[in-house]
Amino acid sequence: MVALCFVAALCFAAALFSVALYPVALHGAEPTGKLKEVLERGQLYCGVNGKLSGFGFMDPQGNMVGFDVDICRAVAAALFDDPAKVRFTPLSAPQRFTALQSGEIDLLSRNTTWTISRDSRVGLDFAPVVFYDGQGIMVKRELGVSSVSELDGASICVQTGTTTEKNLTDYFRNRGIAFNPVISQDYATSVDGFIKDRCDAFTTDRSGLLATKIKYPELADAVILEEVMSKEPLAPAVVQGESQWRDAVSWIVFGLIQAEELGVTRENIQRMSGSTDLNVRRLLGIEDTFGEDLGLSNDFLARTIRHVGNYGEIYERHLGMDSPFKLPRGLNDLWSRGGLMYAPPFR
Amino acid sequence: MQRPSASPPSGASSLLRQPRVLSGLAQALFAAVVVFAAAAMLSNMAAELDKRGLPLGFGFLEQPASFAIAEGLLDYTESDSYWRAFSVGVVNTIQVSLLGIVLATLLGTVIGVSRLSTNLMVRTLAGAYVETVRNVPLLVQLFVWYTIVFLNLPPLRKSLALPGGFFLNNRGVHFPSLGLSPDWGSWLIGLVIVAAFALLAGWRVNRRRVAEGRPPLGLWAAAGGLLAVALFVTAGWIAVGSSPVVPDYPVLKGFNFRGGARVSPEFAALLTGLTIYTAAFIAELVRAGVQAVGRGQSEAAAALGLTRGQALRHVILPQALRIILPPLVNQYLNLTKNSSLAVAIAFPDLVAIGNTIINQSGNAVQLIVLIMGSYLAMSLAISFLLNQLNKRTRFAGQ
Ligand SMILES: N[C@@H](CCC(=O)N[C@@H](CS)C(=O)NCC(=O)O)C(=O)O
Repeated sequence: MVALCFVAALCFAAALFSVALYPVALHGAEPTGKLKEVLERGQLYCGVNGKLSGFGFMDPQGNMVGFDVDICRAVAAALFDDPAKVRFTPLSAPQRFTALQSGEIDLLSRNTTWTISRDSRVGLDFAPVVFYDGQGIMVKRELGVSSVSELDGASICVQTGTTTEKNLTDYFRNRGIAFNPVISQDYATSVDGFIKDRCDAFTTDRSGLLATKIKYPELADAVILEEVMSKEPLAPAVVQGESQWRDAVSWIVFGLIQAEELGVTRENIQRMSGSTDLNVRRLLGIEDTFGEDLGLSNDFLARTIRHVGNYGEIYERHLGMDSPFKLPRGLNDLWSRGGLMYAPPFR
Repeated sequence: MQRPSASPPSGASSLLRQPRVLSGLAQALFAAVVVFAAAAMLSNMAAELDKRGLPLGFGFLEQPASFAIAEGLLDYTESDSYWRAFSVGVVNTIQVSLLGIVLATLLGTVIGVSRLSTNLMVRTLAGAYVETVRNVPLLVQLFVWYTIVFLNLPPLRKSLALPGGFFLNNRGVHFPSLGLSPDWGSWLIGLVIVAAFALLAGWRVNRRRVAEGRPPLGLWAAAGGLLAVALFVTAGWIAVGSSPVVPDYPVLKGFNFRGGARVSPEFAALLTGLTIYTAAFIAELVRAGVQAVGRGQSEAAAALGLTRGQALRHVILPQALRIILPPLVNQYLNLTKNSSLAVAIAFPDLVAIGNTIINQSGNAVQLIVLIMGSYLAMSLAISFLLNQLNKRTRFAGQ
């Protein structure tokens, strides 16, 4: 009898409690699915490239650094207000999708091209593009080759599990040029083959070619040919069917771009918080409840920018003028400056 | 005869005390746990795949692969299906495994016998070989063969020209191949006629010999037939100036050698690595097998006046074979499975191609099933064949 009373009292208390919470639940979405799982875990599992300078590699101090790595940190900062709450998993090209499908990682930020088959058949969902790239081809200077059409009959080193291997086949077949592929599972093996003249040419994303040249002094003299063989929009990916999680990641990326457009940087964010510009106030979560509506905190982008900076800052740090790449923004500039980086409105 | 106990057990609990019943129950329980665990895992997997909208069928294998494959015995183009691409990998695996098995057996036998040599030098060298090779992981050895040995051969433009139209460089060994000549059709007709005559002649000779009570000619007749064919070809060659097959020589043209045939450094490295590694294990089996044949056998052979070599070939090895065969099967299976390390050195074996398909199509589960099934089938085939052989040698020996 006593027990029954106790249960009844407990139920009543619970009911009261939920009624009390109701107004809060009206704003903001309860995190569910993957987002909830990540928030509860308190750490983001992020799949990155472990070997590609500029995008994702281990520096001599043992830290993961790079453009893609900072996207992981941006997401961790938004979720936990701490860019260090990330566990990085270095993944090779053929490993990356299985890692995402099997739930070993929450987010894949690893120079991955957004394609229709990956978005459907392979079971991924993509966040917005963070880097617009295209496939290129690199040859040793002493070959004296200046265009792909001169490569008839050449041996070409390429890594498997990439869009690269398919584009290469298409590109050469469409032009009726013969080639002998040398296909490795591993990036280092592939580059080694090129260095040792097992192949006449090495092909991958143009940013990857540049990164390879920077990493291997033997290739300082290699030439990247003019031709851009494909479109390679590189984007972070999550597993298919987790729309809340995907929205969260997407709007964190958009936030980075929007912050650059509004001129909010790591340095000036303190001052900008006092801004009267409504766009800035909405971005930083001072106005409205966009963060909560996504299942995050309202200041999620303020956290991100405070810790990692806006899109332009991340770019310059790893690929731009502050890096060995010295890569001009080009397509990756803001739309307002003639590039393709464009965030939908925050309203 | 049960001993009376203080409190007689009830029917059920006495049943439980019988070891047979108990072990039966335990086995049933274990089986149930295994089945349950398997079912749980499968249904979990199916549910997760469903959630991601990933189908579990094999239909996708009909779609075009559209990636290139570096080499293979089977003809393949990028517009072929995933099935075809996978088959190329299967055939490549079978090819390298079979060659590896043959070479490792030959090398292993030589090393194994050398370990028992009376020559100290030979014995020590063979021992050193076995100890080094067995104790370094195969993956490391493959890397050494590929990146340190084969990739460091001279580059294309500094190819080593070997006698007989062979060229060696870090893109492989290039050598002349035999192609059919333009008038191979007439040659074929001619050859068929000559062969028919030779067969007929042989048959008639043998019939007469049998009629006369003499034994028929076996090898001699075959040799005669071959001689007739060879004479015909030579005569034709001199008379018409063309031969049924023409050699196709590799020549350096543009970026690569064209014509002839080629063994790629990836294939060569894998085959060398597998052969050398497995031969060390086979050598130990051979040594143990030979040592297990009674000493009396070699003494008896010596007493009969056989040389050491003859004794080995006609007396010791046939008996040792019976001891060696069963563990040898294991080594063959190991070699076949180890060939999957090809992924590390860019040889398109079935795992490498399977991985590529997983990555391009996203159907990991199906491909893993196919890969496992392929290895299982190959392993079963090898054990079956060798078990047949095993039975026959046993029978002959007993
Ligand atoms: N963007 C292409 C290519 C990405 C890619 O994997 N590139 C290679 C070559 S630069 C790479 O990063 N490899 C590093 C590794 O596998 O460790 C894709 O998504 O398929």
